[in-house]
Amino acid sequence: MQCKALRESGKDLAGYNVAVFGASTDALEKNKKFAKKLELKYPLLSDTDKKVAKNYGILMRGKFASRVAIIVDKDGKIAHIEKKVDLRNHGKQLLKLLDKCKIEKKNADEKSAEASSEEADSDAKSDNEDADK
Amino acid sequence: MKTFACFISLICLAIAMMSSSSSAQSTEAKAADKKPKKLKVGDKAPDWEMKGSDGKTYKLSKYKGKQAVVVSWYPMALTGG
Repeated sequence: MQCKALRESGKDLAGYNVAVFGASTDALEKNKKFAKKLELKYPLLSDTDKKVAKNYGILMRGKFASRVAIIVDKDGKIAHIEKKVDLRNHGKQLLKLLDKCKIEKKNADEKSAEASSEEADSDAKSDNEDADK
Repeated sequence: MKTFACFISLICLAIAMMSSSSSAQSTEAKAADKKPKKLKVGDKAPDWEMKGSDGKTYKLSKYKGKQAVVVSWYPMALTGG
């Protein structure tokens, strides 16, 4: 649910200068299947030896990672730790958090937030080029 | 009256036991706190390197100075997600 919600907001998240991952202590093969099943566009990371979860203090019962979203800023510092993950609206929740943490948007001057219109523009351009030929 | 006194002493005993066990718990908790430091906002994020479902290996420190990174943790794959 959380991963799916994140997938649905993928386009919006792409407007930010941010790399998005899902992560769990599952085996890589299991996460591969999971990513395929949900048709995720972002990778799921496997922390099989649970070292990362331990380092971040989010390991539960020595086995599983708790449901938590961690935002690390460009300087490698923790910008936010979200323990109340909104399963249904996780993507939207993250967008809000990215704004709150002042995570920069991609090419802010080019207004790449409207990626679809940009695509339309480039299509139009290539059409023109074809016409010129 | 006797039963009342008995009741009171039982309660006292129970309270004494509870407080002793809770103090033992708190010292344990303190000891646990010392080792894995709870991360706070503003702390340097511990670096990690993990294999992704796309077959690539990702490393947090590679994004430093370039991009912010969001990691959304979940307990188990293929269970509701």
